[in-house]
Amino acid sequence: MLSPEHVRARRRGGALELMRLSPADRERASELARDLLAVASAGVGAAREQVSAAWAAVEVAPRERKLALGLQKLIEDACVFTDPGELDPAALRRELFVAASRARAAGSFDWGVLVAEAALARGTDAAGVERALYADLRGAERLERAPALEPEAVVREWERGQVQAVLLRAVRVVAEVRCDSPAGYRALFHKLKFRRLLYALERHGEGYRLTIDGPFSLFESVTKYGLALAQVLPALEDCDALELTAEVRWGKERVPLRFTHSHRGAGALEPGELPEDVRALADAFAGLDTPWRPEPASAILDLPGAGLSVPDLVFSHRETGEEIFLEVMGYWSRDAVWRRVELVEAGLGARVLFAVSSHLRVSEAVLDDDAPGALYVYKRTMSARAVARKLDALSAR
Amino acid sequence: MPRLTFASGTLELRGAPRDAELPSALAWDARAGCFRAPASAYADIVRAFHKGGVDVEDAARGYQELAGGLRVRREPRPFQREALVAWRNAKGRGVVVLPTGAGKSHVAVMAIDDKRRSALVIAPTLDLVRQWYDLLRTSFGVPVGVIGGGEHDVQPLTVSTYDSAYIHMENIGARFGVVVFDECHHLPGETYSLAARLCLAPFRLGLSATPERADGRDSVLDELIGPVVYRKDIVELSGNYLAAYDTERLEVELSPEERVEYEEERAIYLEFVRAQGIRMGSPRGFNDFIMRASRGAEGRRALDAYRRQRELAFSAPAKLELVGELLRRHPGERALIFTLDNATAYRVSRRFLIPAITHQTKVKERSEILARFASGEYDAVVTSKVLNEGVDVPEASLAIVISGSGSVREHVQRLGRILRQKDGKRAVLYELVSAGTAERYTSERRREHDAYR
Repeated sequence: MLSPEHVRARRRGGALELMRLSPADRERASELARDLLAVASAGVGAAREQVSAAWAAVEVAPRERKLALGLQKLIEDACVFTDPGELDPAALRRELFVAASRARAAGSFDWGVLVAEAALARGTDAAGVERALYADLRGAERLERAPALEPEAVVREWERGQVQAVLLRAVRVVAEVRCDSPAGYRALFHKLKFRRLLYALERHGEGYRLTIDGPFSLFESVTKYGLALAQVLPALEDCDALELTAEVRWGKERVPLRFTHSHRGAGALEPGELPEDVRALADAFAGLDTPWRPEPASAILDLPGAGLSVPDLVFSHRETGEEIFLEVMGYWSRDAVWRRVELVEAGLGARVLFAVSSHLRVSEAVLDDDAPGALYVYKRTMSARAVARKLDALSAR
Repeated sequence: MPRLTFASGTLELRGAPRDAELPSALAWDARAGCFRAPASAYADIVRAFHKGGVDVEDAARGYQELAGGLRVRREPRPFQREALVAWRNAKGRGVVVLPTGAGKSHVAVMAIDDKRRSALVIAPTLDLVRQWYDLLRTSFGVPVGVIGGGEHDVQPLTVSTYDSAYIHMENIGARFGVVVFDECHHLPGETYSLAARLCLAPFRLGLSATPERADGRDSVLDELIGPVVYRKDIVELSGNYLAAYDTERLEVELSPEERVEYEEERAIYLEFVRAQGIRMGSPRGFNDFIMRASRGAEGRRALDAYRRQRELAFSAPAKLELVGELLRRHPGERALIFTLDNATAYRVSRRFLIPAITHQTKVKERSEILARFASGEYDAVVTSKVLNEGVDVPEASLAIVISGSGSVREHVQRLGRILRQKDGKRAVLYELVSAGTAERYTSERRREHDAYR
């Protein structure tokens, strides 16, 4: 990951703006990445400090220096360096330093003699001893493998890295997201939970607005959660639409600035498109004599402190207009099913049916008969008739 | 019954009605549907509930009482006993200020023994972590955990670096009843201070020889740890509890070639500074210089010139000659050699075949070097900045400062490294300065302390 010193940005009023690559800049960035990758390829077998010196010698104009350093960082991170394994430097140091101490105490310290003795014992010369003395320092590591990356891929990674490096200094992020499939939202909330971030959720147009920060942010705006916010960026960019605004503390003075970032994702599904098993269930309702009519759901059912559910379908009752949600849990996670059970028990307002594969070995009886949610355990595929019966039963509660 | 839990460096209270009268530190958190407070408010909250007769299930406290106390009891010096009493009288929250070498860590050991709660000691460097590890293990005779330097082992007695404490406190902040902040002048920084806030330990002890900070943020220590409860300075303890010492500034001359190059490079750098109207003496001066130097070829040349003239002054070959002479002048004495940068430290190491300790030295090798230095197998160690603070080598009596920053604290700490009393030793610190260079001003700045008068 890049760090804030690699960011090319300017302050405009209270905003921090990334200096985007123009088409000409992008071409130049690719050229630079190509040169830097070539240095790495040519440096296989050389010491890290030699490769670094060769990277530093790649000619760049002063205004390109930050870009070059960022590209270099990404390429260096992708390189594989190993210990040169010469002569056991630690043992050599120990022996030489003990001998030198004794010689000084005896008033007979002679660098040449001590090094020559060590060299003789190892079958090398004084230069070999000098070289091996600190051969285990980072700068002495050998480049074993250069990365097989396309320059354009490095530039793309650099562009995302710029946003992530800004978010490292974020105290709070407001993300307006739209996912065309519930799976997109689920992946996002899973990632937020994994990173132990907190959020406030509100409906916004066709999607949601999430204000994301951490537990301590309630008392003070801190950059403590910046790394987690940066790590969540890929999940946010996986949404079909993202408008992100971050409050950052920038520069040495930690000046409060606003940063914005937009992204249009290539969603896995078209808007309104449903996964195959859910689509099959919805289609089966058309031929069924039931008052329930399914539609793709776009709601997130959130109970702060208890969790959330992202339903796949919402069933509307033809006569009463009542709505019941269906979330298909499939056969992936037993834990997720228990979390939904706890969510219902904690007082989730909406009525929800959770469809769970029998592979997960969960009984429908774990939720009480009068709870506003219910489990539907199915064997291989979901049955529309069985779902309709469950909806009737939930409706009657 | 409402339930108090520790959650990611904060306290969560669930099961209390939203309109309940609660201690002021607890605020409603709509994101999570509960009341929340910084973990550091734990003692106040528990005390307030107790005083108000409110029953709360305390599931936040994750620390234990220590099964046994000190295994090795050492008679404290009078000022150490006074410091402990002062800290105890301040409800176990406060800072003890004692000069380096006076035995601050023994005050901490007594404080941990006094409270008998799981304790975390936070220190700025891996060398100090290693030293605390040895001290706690010997003093209490129980396994001691380490967090930092690639290790993550949490025990009822644990030592951590500030960096690791900042990173991990949201996970471990409930597990200690006592926290000791060694060299606590590091704590008020924006990131490290969060480590103190994310931790619920009711008892907190800060240790420092020099708590004052140039940025004035030492006032934050009051909130994070407690007030200064006890203080003695270097002059009060010198001779009785610290080794007697001399300091000597030795000037070296640049060679004629070096002098010419120095003046040329310095002129390039100063011309750029003048042309850009940068005031290097102002607080932002150096940052301004770096920023403007990065904007063009002329600036980059000025930056190179700045580095070169500094290198010529700070690492003058004549200084290395003098190091050789000083080592010959003090045969059989244990010497610590300090440099400003790693490159010079390694240069000294290669030239005199002396072990170097820098941030690149692995923990195991650091321990081994310091153990051999203590035993006398090594007569000298060269280091850049990592041994500036706290590392305890009573046998060391000779310090040679080849180069350093203008920081008074750094210089006082370096002197402190050789002041631990041992068999009536007399310590000496040599400061090497290149004559007729800007290094003289750096030297004058760092000597503005009673210890050098």
